[in-house]
Amino acid sequence: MVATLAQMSLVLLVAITGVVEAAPITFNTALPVPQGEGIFRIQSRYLRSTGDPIRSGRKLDVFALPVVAAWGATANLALFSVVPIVDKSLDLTTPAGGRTRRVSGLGDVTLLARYTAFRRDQKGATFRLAPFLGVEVPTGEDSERDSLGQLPRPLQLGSGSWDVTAGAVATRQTLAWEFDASLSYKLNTEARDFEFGDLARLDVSYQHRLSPRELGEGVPAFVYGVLESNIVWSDRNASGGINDPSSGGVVWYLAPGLQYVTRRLVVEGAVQIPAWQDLNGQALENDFIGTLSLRVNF
Amino acid sequence: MSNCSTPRPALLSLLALLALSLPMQAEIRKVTVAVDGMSCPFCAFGVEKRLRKVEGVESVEISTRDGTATAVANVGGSVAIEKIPAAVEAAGFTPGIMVVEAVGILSREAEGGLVLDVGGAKLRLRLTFPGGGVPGGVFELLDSGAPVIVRGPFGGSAQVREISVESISQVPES
Repeated sequence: MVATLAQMSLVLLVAITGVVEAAPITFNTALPVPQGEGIFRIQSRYLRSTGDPIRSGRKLDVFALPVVAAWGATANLALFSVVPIVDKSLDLTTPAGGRTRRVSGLGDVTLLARYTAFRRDQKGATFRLAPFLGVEVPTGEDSERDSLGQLPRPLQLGSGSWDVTAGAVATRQTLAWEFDASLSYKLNTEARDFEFGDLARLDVSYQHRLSPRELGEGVPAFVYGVLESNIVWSDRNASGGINDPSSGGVVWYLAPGLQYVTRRLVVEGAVQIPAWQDLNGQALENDFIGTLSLRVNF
Repeated sequence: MSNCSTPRPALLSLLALLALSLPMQAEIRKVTVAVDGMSCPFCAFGVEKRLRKVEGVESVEISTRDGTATAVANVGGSVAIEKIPAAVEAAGFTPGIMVVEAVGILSREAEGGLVLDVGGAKLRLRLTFPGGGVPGGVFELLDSGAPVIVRGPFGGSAQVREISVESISQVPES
């Protein structure tokens, strides 16, 4: 049964790492954080997976509440911290009947630095390119137990390992629309004889101003229609040096959404729907990931 | 050029005395700076916050459409105009042309050009006029010795600051 439970790792990695990358809605942006100023963001993300290829009645729900604080160290260097509160619940069928394995608490904290390496500003428009580097600190518990014994590693709150993410994000923003593209790679390391597979992501986002149609005086609030695409590839997990054949694979999400943007606040929501999934072995397929988010300039 | 006024000679001395007694007779009252790259409301707030921290700034007005930020001086104060570009840079954007509204006393340089002494800002601004010629009304303002309001793009070098005059008028009595 433990082997079967381990087969949902890509779904869980997508849920958590998607949370880690902070904006536009499902990932990061190259737009500036002013020097000496801060931005606070809280998201709620809900992931559901019921696509069980072996029809064993598995069902996974993940609720994550990542709190993101961003700080402008300089005009070009922004520092981010992401503190996630996570609740994971797995329903499964055992010989003794249906059971639920559940865990909740602090997940792994991520610290991220992003540097704007290139910038071209024009009136009402900008283009920026920013590499970023982050580390995931093993603050989440990785040896939780329940009445069935120790929870499988993918269901734990934390990975137990120090993991590194590197990538770059490009943003082109005008008064009418914004386009973001991000490419990143997460190098997962081993902890307690288990290693999550590495993760690569290609994210793009297009945001189009729906309101106001004509810009007036001052700083009017904007409403953007959003369409995002996330292609996530994960390598197989390894336990005791042996690869898990039912872990890893590729998922392509499409995420329509809406953003309401004012001077102080951004309220946004999106639903990531798997347009294509190619998961290895008997891994649990994802139904959707819903995201609601609030950003505050302070 | 606009608002060139012609004070009556008989009132010149009295006007000058009144104007000199005004608390805001010599200052950078307002600076409108082009903020290149600012293209969303959320970004605008960062610019506003950084400009509010500039010495002498009481309030900031942003125009997303025009891509500008206007810093207005507090009563009796003067905007530290030299610090405006750095504030825009610190917000993560590129500062462009600055249009200032300055109050000061007109005088003539040894070379014959006109300058505005902005005492509150300890700043001397050389005035340039589109087309090169100085409108006649300006010399009357010069002769009056009364404080004037000059509005126009701010430029020049670090040694010689200039305003390309768009408008110049006498400070209203009120």
